[in-house]
Amino acid sequence: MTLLKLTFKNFLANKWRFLLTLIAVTLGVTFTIAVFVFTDSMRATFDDLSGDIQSGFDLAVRSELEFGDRIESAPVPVDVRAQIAGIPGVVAAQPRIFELNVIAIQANGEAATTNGPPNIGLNWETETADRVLFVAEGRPPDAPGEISMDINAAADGDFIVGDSYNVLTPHGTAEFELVGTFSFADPEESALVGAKLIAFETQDAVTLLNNGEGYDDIVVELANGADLDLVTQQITQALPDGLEVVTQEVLIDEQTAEFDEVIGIFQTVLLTFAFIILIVSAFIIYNTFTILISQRVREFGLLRALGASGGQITRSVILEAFIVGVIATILGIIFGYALAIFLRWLLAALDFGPEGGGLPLTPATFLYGIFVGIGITVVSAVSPAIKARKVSPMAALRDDVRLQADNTKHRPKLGIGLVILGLLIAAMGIAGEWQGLLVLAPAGAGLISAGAKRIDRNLSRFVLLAVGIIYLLLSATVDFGTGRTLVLLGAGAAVTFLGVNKVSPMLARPVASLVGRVPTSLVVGILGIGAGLLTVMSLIGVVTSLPGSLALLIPAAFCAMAAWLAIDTVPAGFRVTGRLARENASRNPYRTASTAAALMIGLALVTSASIVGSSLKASFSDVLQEAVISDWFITPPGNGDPSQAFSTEVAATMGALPEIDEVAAYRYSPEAFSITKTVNGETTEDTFDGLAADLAATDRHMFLDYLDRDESLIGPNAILLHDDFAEDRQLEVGSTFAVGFNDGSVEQLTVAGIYSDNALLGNRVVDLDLWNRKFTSTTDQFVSAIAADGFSEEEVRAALQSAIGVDYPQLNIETVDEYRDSIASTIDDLLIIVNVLLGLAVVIALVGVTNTLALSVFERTRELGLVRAVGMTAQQVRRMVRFEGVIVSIFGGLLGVGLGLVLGAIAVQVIPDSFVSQLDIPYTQLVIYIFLAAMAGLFAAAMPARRASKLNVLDAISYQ
Amino acid sequence: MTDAPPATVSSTVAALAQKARKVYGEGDTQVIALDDVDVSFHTGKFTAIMGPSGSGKSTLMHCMAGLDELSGGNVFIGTDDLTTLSDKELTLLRRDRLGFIFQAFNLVPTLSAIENITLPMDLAGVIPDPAWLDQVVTTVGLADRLTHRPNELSGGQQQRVAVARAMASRPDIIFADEPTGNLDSRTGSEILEFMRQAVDTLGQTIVMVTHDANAAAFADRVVFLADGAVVHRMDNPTADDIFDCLRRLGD
Repeated sequence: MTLLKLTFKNFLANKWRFLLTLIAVTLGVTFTIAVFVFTDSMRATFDDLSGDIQSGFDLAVRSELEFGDRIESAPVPVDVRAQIAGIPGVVAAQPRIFELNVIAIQANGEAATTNGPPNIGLNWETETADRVLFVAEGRPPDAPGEISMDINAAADGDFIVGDSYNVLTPHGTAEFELVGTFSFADPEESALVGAKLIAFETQDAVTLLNNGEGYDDIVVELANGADLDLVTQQITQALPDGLEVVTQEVLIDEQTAEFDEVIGIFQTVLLTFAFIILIVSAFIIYNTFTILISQRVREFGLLRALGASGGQITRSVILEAFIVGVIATILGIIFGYALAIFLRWLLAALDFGPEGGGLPLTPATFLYGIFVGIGITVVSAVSPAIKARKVSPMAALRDDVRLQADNTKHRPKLGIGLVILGLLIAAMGIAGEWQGLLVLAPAGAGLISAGAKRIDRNLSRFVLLAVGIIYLLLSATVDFGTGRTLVLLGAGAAVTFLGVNKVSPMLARPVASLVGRVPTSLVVGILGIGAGLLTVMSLIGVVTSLPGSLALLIPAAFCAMAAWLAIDTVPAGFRVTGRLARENASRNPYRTASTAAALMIGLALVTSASIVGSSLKASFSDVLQEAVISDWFITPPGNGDPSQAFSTEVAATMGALPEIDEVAAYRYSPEAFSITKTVNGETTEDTFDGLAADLAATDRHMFLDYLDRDESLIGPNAILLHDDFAEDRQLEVGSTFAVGFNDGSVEQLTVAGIYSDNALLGNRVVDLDLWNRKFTSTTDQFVSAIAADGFSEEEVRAALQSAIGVDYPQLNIETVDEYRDSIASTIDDLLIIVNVLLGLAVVIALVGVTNTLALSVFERTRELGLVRAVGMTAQQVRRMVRFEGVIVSIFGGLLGVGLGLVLGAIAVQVIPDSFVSQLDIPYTQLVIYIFLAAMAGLFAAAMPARRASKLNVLDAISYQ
Repeated sequence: MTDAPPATVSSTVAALAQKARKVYGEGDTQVIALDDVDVSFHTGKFTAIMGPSGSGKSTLMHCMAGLDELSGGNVFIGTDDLTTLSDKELTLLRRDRLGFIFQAFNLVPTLSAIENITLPMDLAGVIPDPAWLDQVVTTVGLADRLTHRPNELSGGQQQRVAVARAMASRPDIIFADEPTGNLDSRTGSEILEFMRQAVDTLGQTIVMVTHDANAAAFADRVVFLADGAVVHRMDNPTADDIFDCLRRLGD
């Protein structure tokens, strides 16, 4: 009880110290909660949407689909409808047609596309009583050439009922009259999640969207009291082969599962970042508690002298951690919920997601918050708390006391046992599935390290790093399959981080004295200005798309920061203040090292992401240089997204232009083929993505770098294979093998060529002729073209622009170089998002730097009083503390960028060559990162520096 | 028992307090630490300030040294009125014109002995006069200990480094706050000898707060404080004289 009181007293007495710990934990909890609340809310919205989409009927008739996306299934013949309608108990049989990438063109000539959700074309319902579409203005489309549009899409694009507009469909672009608007699912408010809908009259939709071949499905409404099973049975009997009857529940479940898959990926990505943030937070929490305890050694000694047991001391420290955890969890849940609201608002504002609807706070979310907030805080405090237990009562009486270092007993036999166990577990992990690897590889490393500590303490410091490096080397050199190798790389990275943290205290002094020396501070200053100028130049290039004032503001701010850093560090480096800062940074190497470690993790990840991104760009640029012969590329927005495919009319129109010599169209499906493989008598069947092209023309557009080919085999049932796939399946030119399609049919395909360059065409290419026979979707994924002789680039561009640019304003018409640049800028955009999320981890690490410096300043109160008394000005004190922050941050920056270089290089090695074949290290960027770290250190130190300079000299001198 | 306040600041006066008043707290809890104190410290002299606990001797020294602010009156270092100076000006004055010796924690633990000695000059960006530095270091007998860190030095050696630091920049005046309080009497005497020597051979001005009569006996003059006021002055004192005086004051 007394101890509880003491804990609370201590907590209240050191409010501001705990505040800093609180910030670190709260940030971690906030992010985790926000991720769960936000994804739960998305899931709820999309579950509702699934119900809305699949409502108003009891049964649905559709074609059977072996595998792949429903949108690629065979159509239901038109005459089936009449058959179903005639069955007793059926009140209505409503045919449905649904197609992606149906886009209206606004009056100003721009395509009314969304920022991500689909552009959907569908038919107006006429049969079922329970409606999904509700007329808002005008009337439904009831003749060919008429459309209606959802009210949000109409409002966004300023479409006016009564006017005519061009609409892009798989059938080509044509003019339609807008006869009305409608709202989806709810007569009051359209319940669409950012998607845009255009409705056609049913027969028109069959022609435009389904190539005139039928419906996607027919939904059936039953009479009141009709027997569902009986009617189902009767319909089934009436249906021709290849069609099936399913209930509404099945369709809803399928729809939900489809949405959940996307949300699941989204959630995994966000949680990965949350996890990184938590690891960084844990470092900070651990560090803070260690410092707090070392500052209170004398107090603990006094308590011990007065009769408190070691256990009581440990419990009181853990109780403090618990209190911090509870408060942080409560705050984190509140802030996390607010962040989720903000995130949803942001995405809705970007036209990228749902607006409104509930933000569910489920019990599971609460549990995660509590686990993260309280669990991680308490666990991080355990080791410092155990150290506190070992404080001797003599500590109260001595002047200069330190916490005892970890005193693991020397027990070689136990140690060897642990090491062997660790090796076994690690080996098991590496031999097993990736899920096991994720847990077993770090666990094995931990055991090996724990064992080594009992054999030889000094040596054991390097063991964790060594194991991490071995993991990394294994992942770089041995092929365990991409997924497992990447997991091993991740585990290796995590173990290496911990290993570096164990070794880095030894580096703290040399690095601090190196960084703190006069020439280095000069270099930092010059580097700062140089990086500032470089950024100005690169940003002016990159940011020209931003509004002008912003484009100037960012580099200007950067320059100002660089100047401040230079002004602040250069004089400090020359003076005794710099010497003091350097000494302060290295006087407690463990503290400096673990402060830097938090920053190191963040920067290592940012660095490796940059290296992977930059290598990706370089590889792609290389591939285009080598693999592309054609001059022009026509691509839809959101390159590679099958839902953005466009009408074949584009290729046809282009082919007719005198400026164009030859056009090649490419079609793509992520689940095109089903191919069986027999190994040791066991047959497995997998689905693969596939591309279709005019095989006879491909060679004039693309350089595939054939290893072997036989042109005489080119024909409707020919297939070109990449070397890797051919080798895996033991196929060679002339081999024939069975390929299944999603309608259940099987064709024998003959290998006509084996190639080694697959960046643009993937691993399997079939002929368009085969594709047209087997797939219902007849839209192109991209088109390449060879310009005719005698036309300049500008002439060709003008011709393409007027021939297809007007009718298909959403398409990118680019030369190969422009195409490469737009791919590069897509990668850059992605990298920015990744780095912003990783940047959060860096920000939290900076809270750690602030934390450590604030606590160190507190610890050195008397010393600060002394130097102030003998004449250090307040400004010099500020510079000294800020310079220390810069030194610690550069230390973390160097470790992080160094480690990130290694991790990035290995990741590039591990990622299959078809994505990344070439290592490209963005040196300028890495230098900027180190500079930014220095800069951030300056910011992080600003608050502690201010505190230090405002100490009352007299109070400080007499401070105990 | 008090001098008449001088009409003008004499050139032989290194530091001066005029009607110096320091009040802590308000109303019922008000404590008058300095009650209109008038006192002057002469150039090239070693002055000790004595008095019982709570007499205001430390407060007087802190205010004279620009570490604390007066509630009323003025203090001068040379001809500069400290009450008119900003915090920055006070800091620079301490750095360039004053020296300090504290009872304990006198040195920066991360700097070596010689770095501690030159710290105020390094802060000012001034290159120390090597001949003078040499003389100071020799006087306090530290020549072979200069590269050691404070934790490698004994308490007496640490205090000698503090004395050397206080003298190294040739300050107008050195303030010492119980400089021997943490030392045994033999080591304490050594330190006091150095301070005496600094006054006699180098012409240094020193003001020392102490409650130790033996320490005060090293001074040229002792100023006695009680209840925030100067109650007695004694020139060329012996330890016995001081004891007597303290006993009388205590009655």
